[in-house]
Amino acid sequence: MTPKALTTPISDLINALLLHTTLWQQGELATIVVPDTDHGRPTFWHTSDGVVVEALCGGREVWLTLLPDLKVAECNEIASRIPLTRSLEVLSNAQLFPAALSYNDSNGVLHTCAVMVQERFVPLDCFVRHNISARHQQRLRNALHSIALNITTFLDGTLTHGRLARGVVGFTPEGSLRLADYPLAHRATNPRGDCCALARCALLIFVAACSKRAYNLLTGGALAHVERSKIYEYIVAAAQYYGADGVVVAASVCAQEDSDVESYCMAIAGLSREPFRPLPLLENLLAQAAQLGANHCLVPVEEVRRLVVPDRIDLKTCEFVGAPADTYIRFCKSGLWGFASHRGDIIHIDRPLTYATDFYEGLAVVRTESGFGVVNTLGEWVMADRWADIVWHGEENVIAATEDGTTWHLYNRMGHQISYYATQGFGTPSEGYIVAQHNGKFGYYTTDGVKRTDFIYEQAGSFHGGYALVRYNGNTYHIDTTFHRITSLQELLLAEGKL
Amino acid sequence: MLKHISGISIIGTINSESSRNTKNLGRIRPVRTPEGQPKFCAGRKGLLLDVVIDNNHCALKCYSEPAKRTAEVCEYVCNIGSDRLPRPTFYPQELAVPVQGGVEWADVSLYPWVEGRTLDFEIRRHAHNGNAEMLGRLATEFASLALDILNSPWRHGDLKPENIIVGPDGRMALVDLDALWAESLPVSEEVGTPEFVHPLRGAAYDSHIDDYSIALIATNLCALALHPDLPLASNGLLFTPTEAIEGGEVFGRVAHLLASKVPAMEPLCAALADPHSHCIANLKDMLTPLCTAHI
Amino acid sequence: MYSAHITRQNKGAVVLLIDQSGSMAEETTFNGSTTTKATAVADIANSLIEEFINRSNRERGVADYFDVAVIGYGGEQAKSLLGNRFRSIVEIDSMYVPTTQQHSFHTLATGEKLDFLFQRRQWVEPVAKGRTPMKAALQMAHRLAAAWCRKHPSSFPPIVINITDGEATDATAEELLCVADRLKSLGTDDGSLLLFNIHVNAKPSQEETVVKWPADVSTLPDSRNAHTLYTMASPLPPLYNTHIAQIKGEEPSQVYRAVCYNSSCDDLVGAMLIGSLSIGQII
Repeated sequence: MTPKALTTPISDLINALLLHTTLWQQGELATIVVPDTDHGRPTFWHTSDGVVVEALCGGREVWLTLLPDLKVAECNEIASRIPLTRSLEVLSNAQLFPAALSYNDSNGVLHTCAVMVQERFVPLDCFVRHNISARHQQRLRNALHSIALNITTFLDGTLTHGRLARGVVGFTPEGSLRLADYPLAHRATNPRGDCCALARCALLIFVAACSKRAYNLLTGGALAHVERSKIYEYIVAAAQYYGADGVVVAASVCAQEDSDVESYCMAIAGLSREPFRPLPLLENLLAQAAQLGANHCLVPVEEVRRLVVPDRIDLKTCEFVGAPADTYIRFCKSGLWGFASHRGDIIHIDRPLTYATDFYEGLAVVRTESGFGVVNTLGEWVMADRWADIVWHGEENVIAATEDGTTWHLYNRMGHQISYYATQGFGTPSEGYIVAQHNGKFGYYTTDGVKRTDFIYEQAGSFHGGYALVRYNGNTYHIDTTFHRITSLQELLLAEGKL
Repeated sequence: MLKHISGISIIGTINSESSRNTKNLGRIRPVRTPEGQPKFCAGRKGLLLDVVIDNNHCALKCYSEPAKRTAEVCEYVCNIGSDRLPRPTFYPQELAVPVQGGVEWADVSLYPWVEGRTLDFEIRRHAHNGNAEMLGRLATEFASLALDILNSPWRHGDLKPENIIVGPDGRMALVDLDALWAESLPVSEEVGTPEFVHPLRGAAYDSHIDDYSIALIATNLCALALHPDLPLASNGLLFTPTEAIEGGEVFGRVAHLLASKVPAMEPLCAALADPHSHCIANLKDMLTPLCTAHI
Repeated sequence: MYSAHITRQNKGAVVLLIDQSGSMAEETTFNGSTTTKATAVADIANSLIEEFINRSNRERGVADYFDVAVIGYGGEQAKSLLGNRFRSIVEIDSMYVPTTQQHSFHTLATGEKLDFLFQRRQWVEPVAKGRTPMKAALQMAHRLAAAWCRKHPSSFPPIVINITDGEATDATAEELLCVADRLKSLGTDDGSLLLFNIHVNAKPSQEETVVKWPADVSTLPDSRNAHTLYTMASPLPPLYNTHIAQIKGEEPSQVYRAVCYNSSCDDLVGAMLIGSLSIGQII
């Protein structure tokens, strides 16, 4: 909604405020300080009532609302609503100074401007973004509880705000609800509208706690062309799919603006109890809606569901089910591979797998249409699917991989290359060593990627019990881990008491 | 943040013998074991190290947590001038000790070195050797120490054989003064060592806090002097306070032995078995005969 | 409950379960330098054992205040690293193990350089190989602790500290919870065995929250492993809750859980200090 134009230019008001607070520092605004941002100007914005400026009062963060066009009657009405802000904790504490600011207009005529000082809190969007980035889901839960607690003041008529919207809703850092601009809400009261606004805020917070991506889509403008009813339809569909009944009720109620107050209250209460959970279906629905643009028909919900990998799979319906490895089960269904727990909970990987190997100590080699890669048990790519071939030697904690199919390197379990020299192939590691091949000859690397010998052997075997069999210049003999020739392994083992 | 300094860190700083690690004391040279490690004992509040500072042999107590009333205790002991108490100097935030993420400055108390071995060591040694005469002398000297304590305006607060040093001349002195009680001192959080205090002493902190410990040690010493091969438990005693109050077998034997050989000890045994109070009335009168008795 | 003092007659017991699986080869930062998780955890375990020895030192030498068992789990099985039983702290002190002298320096803001010299004994070697048989380790701990509790009915109950960086590979979450419950059901007259789970992350990113001693499962990340480790861990008695509340600056009325999730190796040191709080109960 575009705020109405003020009779006084905003710059005049700001300059008058700065003059008053920096030079005069007296009167009702004596303790006010208006800090500058890095651009050298204070932070302010235009609203339907006037101009809001961020400031400090006695060290506390406040908003100053400059009200230049206020009539006396309006001023009295605002003043009459101030006391309630002191007694109700949910309302941002406010104070009104009817003629605190004086300024001259372009004709030199002196005017006065009322200033309302309000206690500042964290606006809803900032609160949500900060806490979903830091994964402070408890604070988001606190916020839902606080909304559920405070909405009862609307239910029993103690409080009617009249102008509740996302822009005036906020929270303390710990998640206690705060509402701004109560004194300015001097229009006809609308408890239904107030509760509807709070319920929508609660739903938004819930979605944010479950899915950062869905929240960004809902608030970032990508869905500006989509009808609000359609968005709620998507939320209801996704919630039904996941069995999140509280969300179903809340979204259904929020979709209508004329539900009764009790319905909104019950919806919020249900949301505050609903556990947070991932919502990949909702993300896909909203993402599809954002991509399609205003001129296309939106995809029916049922069709989008097909694109989403279910959270759970019935292993009995799979063509192949492997034995548990690291407690995860490898399966193949309709030609696509995946991993599930013994209960069928799927590990979500963001690309279809054309093949998968078993997990070992948290890593598994998989193949997509793009190539081989390595994933962990969270479905994250440790090595992206761009390799011609990968072998994960879990017992020796080393990965051998090639991008082009001919030159191989060794990698550690974080996917970082650890060998300096490329080879044409690696054998199976054993006892900390791995046979490597180059130009038809063989040599040894350690499993830390260090080259221990040149490629001098015509044949080379893996180490067992500290010895390996090699052939060099036509002679076959054993070597030890210092790569010295052992004359007679049998005699040595006898001497060591191993035979 | 909980400031806790580990024993490893304290030893690490003492081991380096660097004068930069202290603010006032300068270079601290630890007396070392045959393995080359600093010699020390551990207590509840920190470590007590055997050190040499400016060619003076001392005992350095390094605290793992800020020492709450140690400054007052040190000042009191220096003023009181008792020859049973070594005179310490308190150095707050004196010793640099490495901790997670940086360095903490630990409080320390410096005591003059008291030559001798602990009473605990002496008891075990003489009991192992069956030396009844030496045990008798220990009993007599302990009674003398106990009377000095009871006649003083202070009490030790954590009296046990490990905190009593027997000098080469047989005279006993007290160490580990963190739990010292006096009217003018702030209250201590220490409640003594459970194996040496009355089970009902609880948080009581008054002029009777040493009564039970005195009676316990005196009784043990007398019994051992009469019968050195009585079985010592791992804590160096024949019986615990709980065993005395509940009438354990070993306590019964000890009480019977003392009743037959040293009748003057009967009131002490009766006091040990009293389940009601940690205070022992007329303790001085009970101990006086022991100072001159030939056990 | 949980008020027994640790004496020579009523010894204390500590069991360290150390994850020695392949994932412990990942690099991490510890004490300002880069090392593997296995090396950092081994260093911390060795320091803890050394601290037990120091705190047990008396005039006549190390006194028998503690029994310690260390179980490493990696590959297909769990194995006891100090012999297949509890070892008294006296035995551990006299074990012949590799010893190194280590200098460390710290420069104060004034520019002055402080110098420290540590003797580091290595009872636990860093190993990182194979899978994560955590269930086998818990079962071995159960066997050792059960026998110990029968022999020491009046002592402070045993403390089991499980240090891991990942999920168990030899048991589902339900199986692990079952084994953990059996372990926690052991105890002495002074209380039940306390099981601490300390999860070590290589380099917690900004997205991942480090959670220490939570009072509520909702503060943990939304991860199956986190919830499993939380449920396995013991609720802490007042002795620990008071200290933890003090550290966190919270009201001491909360009951915290013996779990840390996404800890760095530097956090692990603090966690072990809390876990071995009973060391302060030595008299």
